[in-house]
Amino acid sequence: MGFPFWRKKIEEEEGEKAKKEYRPFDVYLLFVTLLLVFVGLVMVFSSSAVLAKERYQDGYFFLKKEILFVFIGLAAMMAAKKISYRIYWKCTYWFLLLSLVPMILVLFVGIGGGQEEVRRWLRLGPFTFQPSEPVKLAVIIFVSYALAKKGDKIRSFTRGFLPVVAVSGVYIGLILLQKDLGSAFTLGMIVFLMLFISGTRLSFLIGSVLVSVPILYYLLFSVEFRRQRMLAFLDPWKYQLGTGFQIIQSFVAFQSGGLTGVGLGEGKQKLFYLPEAHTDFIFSVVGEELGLLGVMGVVVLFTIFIFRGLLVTFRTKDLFGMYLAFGLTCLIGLQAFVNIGVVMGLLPTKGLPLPFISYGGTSLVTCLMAVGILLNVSTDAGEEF
Amino acid sequence: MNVSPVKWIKFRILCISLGFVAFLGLILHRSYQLQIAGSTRVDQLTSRQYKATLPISPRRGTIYDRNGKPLAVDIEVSSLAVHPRQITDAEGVVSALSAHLKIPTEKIREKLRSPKKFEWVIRRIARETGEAVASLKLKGVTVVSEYRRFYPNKDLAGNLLGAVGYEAESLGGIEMALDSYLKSDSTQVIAQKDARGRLFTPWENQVRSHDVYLTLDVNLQFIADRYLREGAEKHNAKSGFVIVMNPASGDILAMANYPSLNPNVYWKYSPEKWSNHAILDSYEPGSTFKPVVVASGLDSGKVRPGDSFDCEGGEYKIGKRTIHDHGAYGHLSVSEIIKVSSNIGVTKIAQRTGKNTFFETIRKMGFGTKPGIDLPGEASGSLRPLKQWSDIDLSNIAFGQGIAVSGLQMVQAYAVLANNGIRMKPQLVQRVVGSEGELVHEASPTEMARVMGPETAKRLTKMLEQVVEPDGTGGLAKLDGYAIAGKTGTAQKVDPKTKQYSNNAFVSSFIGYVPAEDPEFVIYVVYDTPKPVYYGGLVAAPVFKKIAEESLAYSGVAPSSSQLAKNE
Repeated sequence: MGFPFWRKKIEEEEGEKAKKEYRPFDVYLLFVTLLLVFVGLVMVFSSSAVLAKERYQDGYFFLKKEILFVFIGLAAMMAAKKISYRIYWKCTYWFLLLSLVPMILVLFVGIGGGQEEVRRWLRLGPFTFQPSEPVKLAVIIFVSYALAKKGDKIRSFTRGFLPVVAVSGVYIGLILLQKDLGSAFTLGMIVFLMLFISGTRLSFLIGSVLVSVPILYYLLFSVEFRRQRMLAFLDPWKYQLGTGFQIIQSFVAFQSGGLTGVGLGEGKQKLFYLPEAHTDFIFSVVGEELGLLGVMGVVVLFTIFIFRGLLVTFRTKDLFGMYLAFGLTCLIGLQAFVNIGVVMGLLPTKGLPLPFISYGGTSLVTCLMAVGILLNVSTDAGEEF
Repeated sequence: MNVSPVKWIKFRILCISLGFVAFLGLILHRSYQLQIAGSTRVDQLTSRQYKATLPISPRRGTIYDRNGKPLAVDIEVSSLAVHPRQITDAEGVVSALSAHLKIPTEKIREKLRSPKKFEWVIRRIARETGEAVASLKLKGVTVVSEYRRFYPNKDLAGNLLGAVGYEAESLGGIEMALDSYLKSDSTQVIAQKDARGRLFTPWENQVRSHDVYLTLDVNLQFIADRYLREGAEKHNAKSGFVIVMNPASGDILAMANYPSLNPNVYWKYSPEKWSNHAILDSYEPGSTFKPVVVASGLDSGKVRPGDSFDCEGGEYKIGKRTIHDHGAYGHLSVSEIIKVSSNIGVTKIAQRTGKNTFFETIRKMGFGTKPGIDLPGEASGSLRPLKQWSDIDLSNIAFGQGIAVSGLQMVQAYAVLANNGIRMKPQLVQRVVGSEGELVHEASPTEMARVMGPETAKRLTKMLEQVVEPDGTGGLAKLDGYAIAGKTGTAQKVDPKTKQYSNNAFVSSFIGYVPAEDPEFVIYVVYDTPKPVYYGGLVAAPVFKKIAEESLAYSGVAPSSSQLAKNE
């Protein structure tokens, strides 16, 4: 029944009772995260050194920046771990508003990663900032908030389902305006899955799928570079020298790796054969240098992460915390699986980083913050419903 | 509701977990497909895409002399290429290259306009220049290392060594004969390239070639070369050569030619100047051949050392032909026949020896077959089959006409006399060493045949020592402190037009070994058509003397006290 009880609780019981109900945080989740971050550092260095040496005359250029962001990210994570997630309940709309500003700003002054029509990053001195990353957190917090607040009302279309979809739709739409279909798709999937577990009517969900399929189709085939990527996904060898180049080079990387890999740092695919070797296609470099065993290792780490995240979801007795934990687990898990699916040619090419591992400060800090929140949720014993 | 909403939520989460598990299974299956099963298409691409085949001349093995002094080495040079499609700042490239390479700008612009992916701008320039251009880091300009053959001693032994062409192909001589050792396994080198076409593996380490050590001694070669040239210039010879060989081992220590070839700039030489006359030419040896018949006679016992022969006062008729001597000699001992080089005397000896025995000795001494040092174009001379020999042939061949020999065959034959009657295989290659320092091939002294008894060889040596006495034909070869056994030769050349013996074209030679009692060197000096002086004793013998003198001094062979005493 009534979840507003916890609000009373937290206000009433700051003393002994709360301490009693305090559970230790999920140490496995933290451990797996740190391992993934470590693998990420190693792989970022291995895959970027040649490019860094060539572009900046410093082989450690990307590694140094990534290490800086690891520290920022870990600090953010530890902070988020300390701050009770219940605070976000109050701040939901602030987060939404706050993340809206850079999202709109980026449409005007943003820069693309080499592509003319793409505007995804904001330049901040020597760094760049990708507003779509923290937006994911804001939207997940919002949806958790809305679902927890609405409770059974989610089964109503106008009062439950539609508002949630509408608000997240605005953000997903803004991400789409940045031509970042990968992020938009992932966020859309997360909202969809959260709605699914919330117990909304399946007819709404099926309806929304039916509506979004033609939209997705239009989106895929209206933008030329996406259309090319789709065609290349369907038959990469036909577009071997064009849009299929990347995915085929990814195949080459995996196949060269074989079972045990060619050895850390020994990969050849990062010598400009594999575009984005240190960002979106870093997993191919893992496949090449560490082989099937390395691939399995990383996949197993992500699986453990998802498993522990869902376990946190299971154990949390508070609805908001539960949705939040679920949403954040999906954020990491879906991104990981979609990225791996893309580099293995199971999904069409999208610009989506591999959480913790790909080079990219905003993504790393966002993911680590998500882990921090998840860890905080895991400490919460909450209250039986 | 009967079931609590939280239970429902948990159930749905489980459903989603199953979805994750399903996708996990898909990923694992896919990674098996990609990494273990693999595809041939990817394999083909993999084997192709990193490979850069470079049309660069690989490093050739080094040729050393017997003491490890380099005779032919590959030195690193730079070659410059442009990738026209990668060039962004064309004018910058043009002006930079033009300034560094001193090439007109228009020529470089022309290269940049090429529709090809890759265009050489200049090849084989000094490494420093290449490095200077490389340090500019011009986009679309590649500087690669190549090798160029370099002969540090210039034309020393050039005709023997041969040369190496622009694409590392051997053009003759040792370079050609030992090409399979010297050249790398492949003429194209395979390196690995990144996706932008730049090489990232050094290709030098793939190049496997062998180093070759010749039996030559650079110092002896230098001595031979110097005096050969001096003599040739003094006597206006058309060509000439010197061979120095160690009779006991068969090692060829020097092989000099005139005119000489500087293989560093081989393209400046016309084909005939490439000739290594010492092994390529076949010619009538003249009087230097006379000891062969004497050896044959003595060794077979048909002629005894004490025998004397009537030299018919300088004219002797065989059938319709008359044989002449330089002087009107009466009865001469075998030794005197050699000393004065009497044609009639050796004819008589040949007649007594008989053509079968004589022919046998000629064959055993190695005439008529290639000496087998495996140089391209090695001459075998020409020895007529025995059944075609007429009486006059027997006489002619006895004094070195009607038979053609090569210089190396002559040296080989005299080495028999110097080596107690045993013929050694002439050797030019001492050893071949692999790139890891392993011994691939090593020549050891090889006995080919016992041609005559040691007694016969000793007797002939004594007779040949008489030749360099002041009253012998080779008096100018005489050397203080060392006994020399030698023989002069002055052979009329056949005029190619008239097919008759010419009266003004001669092959003048001197061959001998020193010190006679324990020979260190067989030295053969030959001049083709020296003018106006043409006697072997005047033209070749003094050259022999100088070469012998310096070679002995270089080798530290002590003068013999008995010889010194003789001159007191």
